Amino acid sequence: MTKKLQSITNKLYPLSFLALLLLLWEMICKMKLVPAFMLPSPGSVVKALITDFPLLMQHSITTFQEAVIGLFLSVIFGVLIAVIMDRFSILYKAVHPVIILTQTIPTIAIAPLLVLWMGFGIAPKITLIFITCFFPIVINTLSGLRAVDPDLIRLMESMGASPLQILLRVKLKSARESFFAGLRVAATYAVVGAVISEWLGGMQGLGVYMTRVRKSYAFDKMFAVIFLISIVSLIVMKLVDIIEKKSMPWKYLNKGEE
Amino acid sequence: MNTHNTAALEAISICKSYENEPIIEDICVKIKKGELVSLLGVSGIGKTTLFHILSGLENPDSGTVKIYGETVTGHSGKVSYMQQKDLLLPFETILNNVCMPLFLKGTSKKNAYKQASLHFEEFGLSGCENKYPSQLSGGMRQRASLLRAYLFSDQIMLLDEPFSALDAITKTTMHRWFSNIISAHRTSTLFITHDIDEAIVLSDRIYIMSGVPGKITHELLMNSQNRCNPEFNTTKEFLEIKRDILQKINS
Repeated sequence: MTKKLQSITNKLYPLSFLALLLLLWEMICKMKLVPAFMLPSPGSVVKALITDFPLLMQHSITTFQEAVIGLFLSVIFGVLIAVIMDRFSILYKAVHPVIILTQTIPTIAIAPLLVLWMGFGIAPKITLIFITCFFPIVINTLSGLRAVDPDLIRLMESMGASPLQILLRVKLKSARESFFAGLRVAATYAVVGAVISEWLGGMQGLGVYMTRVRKSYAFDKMFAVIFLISIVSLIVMKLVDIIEKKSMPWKYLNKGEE
Repeated sequence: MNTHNTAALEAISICKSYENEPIIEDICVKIKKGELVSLLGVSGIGKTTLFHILSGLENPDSGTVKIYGETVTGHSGKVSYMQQKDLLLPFETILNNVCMPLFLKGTSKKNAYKQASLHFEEFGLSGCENKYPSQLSGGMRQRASLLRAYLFSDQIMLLDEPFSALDAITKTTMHRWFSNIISAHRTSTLFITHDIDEAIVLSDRIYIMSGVPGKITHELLMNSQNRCNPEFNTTKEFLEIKRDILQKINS
């Protein structure tokens, strides 16, 4: 019971701080310290959010879909590559530095190229999300696979386990924890990646909407869409959280019992 | 072949070196059916190396390992093996953990559960079937680990300092329980330890390993009657055996 109370108060701190920030912002706007066209007040942002709500929903769904598809593909390929790299050390030595190298390429620089190569459809967007999300998933899954206690693997071998049995029964299951750490990072990248790729062309999506309102200097709408992007990111992160808790019940035992 | 005279597990002049550094030399060990034999020696003497060879995880440079007269050098999956670390999978329930060797052999889930559940009470694990390892105490986890080893093979077990991570009181309880289980099932056991008391209390026979490279320098026969006496480890006889062993280890 006290635990529950504690978790409520724990949420109370950041929430009241957030409320304080919003209040401060509102006051700055009310006192006209900053011109209204540069910094819209929170009130007008909410108003913009409400008036454009149906339109924003349509765009959000597109962005959400792109993020989820891109994330899904990076999970499939990321885990696959991590397993292969873990199995064959030559491949690990050859590929690992290259994967790190790909992370030094700025996303924003390759996005226009992807549009040139793949057009204005969903393909360049998915590709961009894939490129950004792939990395944290491969690296985390790989380190999870490699972190399995060698004594445990030896024990499994002494019981006559084949490499495939060790992979399925021990390694993949052990790597779940660090896989999810990677997935959580990747999930936030996915939404941001989707928005960036939409900036450069497309018909639908929060990035497209953002470009339009920016060009018309509707800063209240601009802020409204920024809020919405945060909310979509939070939803994706929450989904990852739920899946994590469902798939690793032993990790959340104590919380569940109280 | 007459299995009465054949040793359950026999190692014949095992030698092993790493990077030209001999670790163990000319090790001969013999365990009869149902016997509990300890291998006593200081840390780093090569006991674990010998265990890896006996369990078939590593090949010796020379020498042979035989199980009931059959040469099995370098073949794993013949004897069960348990370590100081419980090595239970944190993400599986105790039931699934102990059934692991059965699953690996291809036993169906239903049959594996049925087979394992017969032993939960005897191993003091009743009610723990659906718990996760993190919910159990160190002693309970070692029991589960031992049950897993037992379900893999109740014929020959190699135990590598299985109780050395436990506190003294838990350890004493475990010793009593363990020797009951082993003698009830007549499991042939080779037990690595650096704890002299433990070796005296549990063993039928003790091999003492010392020197560099590690060799078996002495072999001592224990009186199995003593094991029935719960206060044996406070008797004068016990202390005499202990003094004798200490001298032999250091010589």
